[in-house]
Amino acid sequence: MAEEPAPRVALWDLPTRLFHWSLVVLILVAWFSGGENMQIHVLSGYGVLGLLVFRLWWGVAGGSTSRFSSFVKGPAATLAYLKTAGDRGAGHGGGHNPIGAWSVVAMIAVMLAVTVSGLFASDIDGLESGPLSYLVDFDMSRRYSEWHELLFRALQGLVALHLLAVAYYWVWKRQNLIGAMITGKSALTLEALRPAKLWSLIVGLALAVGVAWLTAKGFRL
Amino acid sequence: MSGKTSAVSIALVLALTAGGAIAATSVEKAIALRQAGYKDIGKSFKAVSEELKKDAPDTKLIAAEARMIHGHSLSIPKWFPKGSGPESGIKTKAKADIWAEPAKFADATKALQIESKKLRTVAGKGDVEAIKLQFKATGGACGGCHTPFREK
Repeated sequence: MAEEPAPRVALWDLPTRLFHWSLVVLILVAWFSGGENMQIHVLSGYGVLGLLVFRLWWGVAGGSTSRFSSFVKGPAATLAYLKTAGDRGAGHGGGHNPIGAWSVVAMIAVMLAVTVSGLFASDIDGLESGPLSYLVDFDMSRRYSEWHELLFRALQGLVALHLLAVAYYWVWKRQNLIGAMITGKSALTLEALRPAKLWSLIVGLALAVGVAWLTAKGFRL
Repeated sequence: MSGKTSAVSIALVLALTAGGAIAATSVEKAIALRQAGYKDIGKSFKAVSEELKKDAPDTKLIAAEARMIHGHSLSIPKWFPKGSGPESGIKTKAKADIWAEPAKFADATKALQIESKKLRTVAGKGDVEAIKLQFKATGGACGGCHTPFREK
Protein backbone atom coordinates (compact mmCIF):
# COMPACT_ATOMS: atom_id res chain seq x y z
CA MET A 1 0.00 0.00 0.00
CA ALA A 2 1.44 3.31 -1.04
CA GLU A 3 1.90 5.78 1.72
CA GLU A 4 0.28 9.16 1.42
CA PRO A 5 3.19 11.51 0.73
CA ALA A 6 3.61 14.03 3.49
CA PRO A 7 2.75 17.56 2.40
CA ARG A 8 5.81 19.61 1.64
CA VAL A 9 6.06 22.67 3.81
CA ALA A 10 8.09 25.84 3.26
CA LEU A 11 11.50 25.55 4.90
CA TRP A 12 14.06 27.88 3.29
CA ASP A 13 13.16 31.33 2.03
CA LEU A 14 14.29 32.46 -1.41
CA PRO A 15 17.09 34.79 -0.17
CA THR A 16 18.66 31.94 1.82
CA ARG A 17 18.58 29.61 -1.20
CA LEU A 18 19.93 32.29 -3.53
CA PHE A 19 22.67 32.99 -0.98
CA HIS A 20 23.61 29.32 -0.84
CA TRP A 21 23.82 28.69 -4.58
CA SER A 22 25.44 32.01 -5.48
CA LEU A 23 28.04 31.27 -2.85
CA VAL A 24 28.71 27.85 -4.42
CA VAL A 25 29.25 29.48 -7.81
CA LEU A 26 31.36 32.37 -6.52
CA ILE A 27 33.59 30.18 -4.34
CA LEU A 28 34.26 27.94 -7.34
CA VAL A 29 35.02 30.96 -9.52
CA ALA A 30 37.32 32.38 -6.84
CA TRP A 31 39.05 29.03 -6.43
CA PHE A 32 39.81 28.55 -10.12
CA SER A 33 40.67 32.17 -10.87
CA GLY A 34 43.05 32.46 -7.88
CA GLY A 35 46.59 32.93 -9.17
CA GLU A 36 45.31 32.67 -12.76
CA ASN A 37 43.09 35.65 -13.38
CA MET A 38 43.35 38.01 -10.46
CA GLN A 39 40.83 40.50 -11.83
CA ILE A 40 38.11 37.85 -11.75
CA HIS A 41 39.44 36.47 -8.46
CA VAL A 42 39.14 39.85 -6.76
CA LEU A 43 35.67 40.49 -8.20
CA SER A 44 34.39 37.12 -7.03
CA GLY A 45 35.87 37.93 -3.63
CA TYR A 46 33.78 41.11 -3.41
CA GLY A 47 30.76 38.99 -4.34
CA VAL A 48 31.52 36.49 -1.57
CA LEU A 49 32.02 39.32 0.91
CA GLY A 50 28.64 40.82 -0.01
CA LEU A 51 26.95 37.43 0.33
CA LEU A 52 28.49 36.84 3.74
CA VAL A 53 27.45 40.27 4.99
CA PHE A 54 23.95 39.53 3.76
CA ARG A 55 23.92 36.13 5.47
CA LEU A 56 25.03 37.61 8.78
CA TRP A 57 22.20 40.11 8.59
CA TRP A 58 19.78 37.38 7.53
CA GLY A 59 20.95 35.36 10.50
CA VAL A 60 19.46 37.96 12.83
CA ALA A 61 16.71 39.50 10.71
CA GLY A 62 15.90 36.91 8.05
CA GLY A 63 13.32 34.16 7.74
CA SER A 64 12.83 32.12 10.93
CA THR A 65 14.77 29.03 9.75
CA SER A 66 17.79 31.12 8.74
CA ARG A 67 18.18 32.88 12.06
CA PHE A 68 21.15 31.81 14.14
CA SER A 69 19.00 31.91 17.27
CA SER A 70 16.69 29.30 15.74
CA PHE A 71 19.32 26.73 14.82
CA VAL A 72 22.50 27.24 16.83
CA LYS A 73 22.18 24.98 19.87
CA GLY A 74 24.27 24.53 23.00
CA PRO A 75 26.54 21.57 23.74
CA ALA A 76 23.83 19.51 25.47
CA ALA A 77 21.43 19.59 22.50
CA THR A 78 24.31 19.03 20.10
CA LEU A 79 25.52 15.97 22.02
CA ALA A 80 21.98 14.63 22.29
CA TYR A 81 21.58 14.95 18.53
CA LEU A 82 24.98 13.37 17.94
CA LYS A 83 23.78 10.25 19.75
CA THR A 84 20.91 9.85 17.28
CA ALA A 85 23.01 10.72 14.22
CA GLY A 86 23.58 7.05 13.38
CA ASP A 87 19.87 6.19 13.34
CA ARG A 88 18.27 5.51 10.01
CA GLY A 89 15.48 7.78 8.92
CA ALA A 90 15.21 11.47 9.45
CA GLY A 91 15.62 12.15 13.13
CA HIS A 92 15.35 15.85 12.92
CA GLY A 93 12.72 18.14 11.46
CA GLY A 94 13.71 20.15 8.43
CA GLY A 95 16.24 22.86 8.79
CA HIS A 96 19.73 22.81 10.23
CA ASN A 97 20.27 20.03 12.73
CA PRO A 98 22.44 20.94 15.74
CA ILE A 99 25.63 19.57 14.17
CA GLY A 100 24.85 21.08 10.78
CA ALA A 101 24.36 24.36 12.61
CA TRP A 102 27.95 24.31 13.86
CA SER A 103 29.11 23.40 10.39
CA VAL A 104 27.26 26.45 9.02
CA VAL A 105 28.79 28.69 11.68
CA ALA A 106 32.27 27.28 10.99
CA MET A 107 31.94 27.68 7.23
CA ILE A 108 30.72 31.26 7.53
CA ALA A 109 33.53 32.12 9.98
CA VAL A 110 36.24 30.56 7.81
CA MET A 111 34.85 32.11 4.63
CA LEU A 112 34.91 35.49 6.32
CA ALA A 113 38.50 34.93 7.41
CA VAL A 114 39.51 33.79 3.90
CA THR A 115 37.86 36.84 2.35
CA VAL A 116 39.23 39.36 4.83
CA SER A 117 42.77 37.96 4.61
CA GLY A 118 42.52 38.25 0.83
CA LEU A 119 41.70 41.94 1.12
CA PHE A 120 45.13 42.61 2.68
CA ALA A 121 47.09 40.09 0.61
CA SER A 122 49.67 40.72 -2.07
CA ASP A 123 51.37 38.36 -4.50
CA ILE A 124 55.08 37.64 -4.22
CA ASP A 125 55.96 40.25 -6.88
CA GLY A 126 53.76 43.00 -5.47
CA LEU A 127 51.89 43.10 -8.77
CA GLU A 128 48.47 42.05 -7.55
CA SER A 129 47.09 43.00 -4.20
CA GLY A 130 43.84 43.25 -2.32
CA PRO A 131 42.00 46.56 -1.96
CA LEU A 132 43.18 47.04 1.64
CA SER A 133 46.79 45.91 1.18
CA TYR A 134 47.82 49.56 1.10
CA LEU A 135 47.15 49.62 4.85
CA VAL A 136 49.92 47.11 5.57
CA ASP A 137 53.52 46.77 4.41
CA PHE A 138 54.78 44.24 1.88
CA ASP A 139 55.93 41.66 4.46
CA MET A 140 52.60 41.81 6.25
CA SER A 141 50.64 41.52 3.02
CA ARG A 142 52.69 38.43 2.12
CA ARG A 143 51.73 36.94 5.48
CA TYR A 144 48.09 37.67 4.75
CA SER A 145 48.56 35.81 1.46
CA GLU A 146 49.83 32.77 3.32
CA TRP A 147 46.86 32.88 5.70
CA HIS A 148 44.54 33.39 2.73
CA GLU A 149 45.76 30.13 1.18
CA LEU A 150 45.89 28.22 4.44
CA LEU A 151 42.39 29.29 5.44
CA PHE A 152 41.12 28.32 2.01
CA ARG A 153 42.47 24.79 2.60
CA ALA A 154 40.53 24.77 5.86
CA LEU A 155 37.43 25.88 3.97
CA GLN A 156 37.91 23.08 1.45
CA GLY A 157 37.99 20.65 4.36
CA LEU A 158 34.78 22.05 5.83
CA VAL A 159 33.02 21.96 2.45
CA ALA A 160 34.13 18.36 1.92
CA LEU A 161 32.67 17.53 5.33
CA HIS A 162 29.47 19.35 4.40
CA LEU A 163 29.14 17.38 1.15
CA LEU A 164 29.83 14.11 2.97
CA ALA A 165 27.12 14.94 5.49
CA VAL A 166 24.64 15.72 2.70
CA ALA A 167 25.50 12.39 1.04
CA TYR A 168 25.14 10.59 4.38
CA TYR A 169 21.67 12.04 4.88
CA TRP A 170 20.75 11.06 1.35
CA VAL A 171 21.94 7.47 1.55
CA TRP A 172 21.57 6.55 5.21
CA LYS A 173 18.72 8.72 6.37
CA ARG A 174 16.85 8.93 3.05
CA GLN A 175 16.60 12.66 3.41
CA ASN A 176 17.08 14.85 0.35
CA LEU A 177 18.71 18.01 1.63
CA ILE A 178 19.68 19.25 -1.82
CA GLY A 179 16.09 19.29 -3.07
CA ALA A 180 15.02 21.32 -0.06
CA MET A 181 17.77 23.86 -0.71
CA ILE A 182 16.54 24.17 -4.33
CA THR A 183 12.75 24.20 -3.92
CA GLY A 184 12.75 25.61 -0.41
CA LYS A 185 10.25 22.96 0.68
CA SER A 186 10.58 19.85 2.76
CA ALA A 187 8.13 17.17 3.85
CA LEU A 188 9.93 16.99 7.18
CA THR A 189 9.40 20.54 8.22
CA LEU A 190 8.05 20.55 11.74
CA GLU A 191 7.72 24.23 12.12
CA ALA A 192 6.97 26.11 8.92
CA LEU A 193 9.13 28.99 7.85
CA ARG A 194 8.01 32.38 9.07
CA PRO A 195 9.26 34.65 6.30
CA ALA A 196 11.06 37.91 6.94
CA LYS A 197 9.62 41.30 6.15
CA LEU A 198 10.46 42.99 2.86
CA TRP A 199 12.21 45.89 4.60
CA SER A 200 14.61 43.45 6.19
CA LEU A 201 15.52 42.08 2.77
CA ILE A 202 16.09 45.59 1.47
CA VAL A 203 18.29 46.52 4.43
CA GLY A 204 20.25 43.28 4.00
CA LEU A 205 20.85 43.90 0.32
CA ALA A 206 21.86 47.51 0.94
CA LEU A 207 24.31 46.38 3.63
CA ALA A 208 25.78 43.70 1.38
CA VAL A 209 26.24 45.99 -1.61
CA GLY A 210 27.45 48.86 0.58
CA VAL A 211 30.15 46.86 2.36
CA ALA A 212 31.35 45.17 -0.85
CA TRP A 213 31.48 48.49 -2.68
CA LEU A 214 33.28 50.35 0.11
CA THR A 215 35.78 47.51 0.41
CA ALA A 216 36.43 47.48 -3.33
CA LYS A 217 37.16 51.21 -3.05
CA GLY A 218 39.56 50.44 -0.22
CA PHE A 219 37.39 52.58 2.09
CA ARG A 220 38.70 55.61 0.23
CA LEU A 221 35.75 57.91 -0.29
CA MET B 1 103.36 10.49 12.98
CA SER B 2 105.70 13.08 14.42
CA GLY B 3 104.51 16.05 16.40
CA LYS B 4 105.53 18.33 13.57
CA THR B 5 103.54 16.62 10.84
CA SER B 6 100.47 16.38 13.03
CA ALA B 7 100.70 20.10 13.74
CA VAL B 8 100.94 20.76 10.00
CA SER B 9 97.98 18.53 9.22
CA ILE B 10 95.90 20.15 11.95
CA ALA B 11 96.73 23.56 10.52
CA LEU B 12 95.86 22.29 7.04
CA VAL B 13 92.51 20.93 8.20
CA LEU B 14 91.76 24.17 10.00
CA ALA B 15 92.66 26.22 6.92
CA LEU B 16 90.47 24.04 4.67
CA THR B 17 87.54 24.22 7.04
CA ALA B 18 87.90 27.96 7.32
CA GLY B 19 88.04 28.23 3.52
CA GLY B 20 84.91 26.16 3.21
CA ALA B 21 83.18 28.26 5.82
CA ILE B 22 84.09 31.45 4.01
CA ALA B 23 82.78 30.01 0.71
CA ALA B 24 79.54 28.98 2.42
CA THR B 25 79.05 32.41 3.93
CA SER B 26 79.65 34.16 0.62
CA VAL B 27 77.01 31.99 -1.05
CA GLU B 28 74.71 32.60 1.87
CA LYS B 29 75.36 36.30 1.59
CA ALA B 30 74.69 36.29 -2.15
CA ILE B 31 71.36 34.54 -1.63
CA ALA B 32 70.39 36.87 1.22
CA LEU B 33 71.38 39.87 -0.88
CA ARG B 34 69.27 38.88 -3.86
CA GLN B 35 66.31 37.92 -1.71
CA ALA B 36 66.46 41.33 -0.05
CA GLY B 37 66.77 42.92 -3.49
CA TYR B 38 63.74 41.11 -4.86
CA LYS B 39 61.78 41.96 -1.74
CA ASP B 40 62.61 45.62 -2.34
CA ILE B 41 61.41 45.29 -5.91
CA GLY B 42 58.22 43.68 -4.63
CA LYS B 43 57.75 46.55 -2.19
CA SER B 44 58.11 49.07 -4.99
CA PHE B 45 55.71 47.15 -7.21
CA LYS B 46 53.17 47.00 -4.42
CA ALA B 47 53.53 50.75 -3.86
CA VAL B 48 53.02 51.48 -7.57
CA SER B 49 50.07 49.11 -7.97
CA GLU B 50 48.36 50.60 -4.90
CA GLU B 51 49.03 54.14 -6.05
CA LEU B 52 47.44 53.28 -9.41
CA LYS B 53 44.27 52.14 -7.63
CA LYS B 54 43.69 55.64 -6.31
CA ASP B 55 41.52 58.14 -8.13
CA ALA B 56 44.39 60.58 -8.51
CA PRO B 57 47.67 58.64 -8.41
CA ASP B 58 50.80 60.50 -7.40
CA THR B 59 52.90 60.05 -10.53
CA LYS B 60 56.00 61.47 -8.83
CA LEU B 61 55.83 58.69 -6.25
CA ILE B 62 55.46 56.15 -9.06
CA ALA B 63 58.44 57.62 -10.89
CA ALA B 64 60.53 57.35 -7.71
CA GLU B 65 59.54 53.70 -7.22
CA ALA B 66 60.23 52.99 -10.90
CA ARG B 67 63.72 54.44 -10.44
CA MET B 68 64.24 52.03 -7.51
CA ILE B 69 63.01 49.08 -9.57
CA HIS B 70 65.26 50.02 -12.47
CA GLY B 71 68.22 50.46 -10.13
CA HIS B 72 67.71 47.00 -8.66
CA SER B 73 67.21 45.48 -12.10
CA LEU B 74 70.71 46.62 -13.03
CA SER B 75 72.10 44.66 -10.07
CA ILE B 76 70.36 41.40 -10.97
CA PRO B 77 73.32 40.03 -12.99
CA LYS B 78 75.44 40.30 -9.82
CA TRP B 79 72.86 38.50 -7.69
CA PHE B 80 73.42 35.02 -9.08
CA PRO B 81 77.05 33.96 -8.54
CA LYS B 82 77.86 30.37 -9.47
CA GLY B 83 77.06 27.99 -6.64
CA SER B 84 74.16 30.03 -5.28
CA GLY B 85 71.52 27.82 -6.87
CA PRO B 86 69.65 24.86 -5.42
CA GLU B 87 72.97 22.97 -5.13
CA SER B 88 74.00 25.35 -2.33
CA GLY B 89 71.67 23.51 0.04
CA ILE B 90 70.32 26.87 1.18
CA LYS B 91 66.63 27.56 0.77
CA THR B 92 66.25 29.35 -2.53
CA LYS B 93 63.64 29.47 -5.26
CA ALA B 94 66.29 30.06 -7.92
CA LYS B 95 66.23 27.22 -10.43
CA ALA B 96 69.40 25.60 -11.75
CA ASP B 97 68.27 26.67 -15.25
CA ILE B 98 69.55 30.18 -14.45
CA TRP B 99 73.11 28.85 -14.73
CA ALA B 100 72.26 26.23 -17.37
CA GLU B 101 70.80 28.81 -19.75
CA PRO B 102 72.73 32.01 -19.01
CA ALA B 103 71.83 33.70 -22.30
CA LYS B 104 68.12 33.19 -21.79
CA PHE B 105 68.42 34.43 -18.22
CA ALA B 106 70.37 37.48 -19.34
CA ASP B 107 67.66 38.30 -21.91
CA ALA B 108 64.96 38.00 -19.27
CA THR B 109 66.93 40.31 -16.97
CA LYS B 110 67.45 42.77 -19.81
CA ALA B 111 63.68 42.84 -20.39
CA LEU B 112 63.07 44.10 -16.85
CA GLN B 113 65.84 46.66 -17.20
CA ILE B 114 64.27 48.01 -20.39
CA GLU B 115 60.66 47.98 -19.18
CA SER B 116 61.43 49.49 -15.78
CA LYS B 117 63.42 52.25 -17.46
CA LYS B 118 60.42 52.95 -19.70
CA LEU B 119 58.18 52.98 -16.62
CA ARG B 120 60.41 55.60 -15.06
CA THR B 121 60.26 57.73 -18.21
CA VAL B 122 56.49 57.34 -18.64
CA ALA B 123 55.86 58.09 -14.96
CA GLY B 124 57.95 61.25 -15.30
CA LYS B 125 55.51 62.47 -17.98
CA GLY B 126 52.56 61.98 -15.64
CA ASP B 127 50.02 60.32 -17.98
CA VAL B 128 48.23 57.87 -15.68
CA GLU B 129 46.77 55.69 -18.45
CA ALA B 130 50.19 55.34 -20.09
CA ILE B 131 51.69 54.50 -16.69
CA LYS B 132 49.10 51.77 -16.17
CA LEU B 133 49.98 50.21 -19.52
CA GLN B 134 53.72 50.40 -18.88
CA PHE B 135 53.24 49.02 -15.36
CA LYS B 136 51.60 45.97 -16.90
CA ALA B 137 54.48 45.61 -19.34
CA THR B 138 56.97 45.85 -16.46
CA GLY B 139 55.03 43.26 -14.49
CA GLY B 140 55.09 41.08 -17.61
CA ALA B 141 58.88 41.32 -17.57
CA CYS B 142 58.88 39.95 -14.00
CA GLY B 143 56.75 37.03 -15.08
CA GLY B 144 58.92 36.49 -18.16
CA CYS B 145 61.77 35.55 -15.84
CA HIS B 146 59.89 34.11 -12.86
CA THR B 147 57.93 31.57 -14.86
CA PRO B 148 60.98 29.77 -16.28
CA PHE B 149 63.55 30.51 -13.57
CA ARG B 150 61.80 30.60 -10.19
CA GLU B 151 60.35 27.68 -8.25
CA LYS B 152 56.70 28.06 -7.40
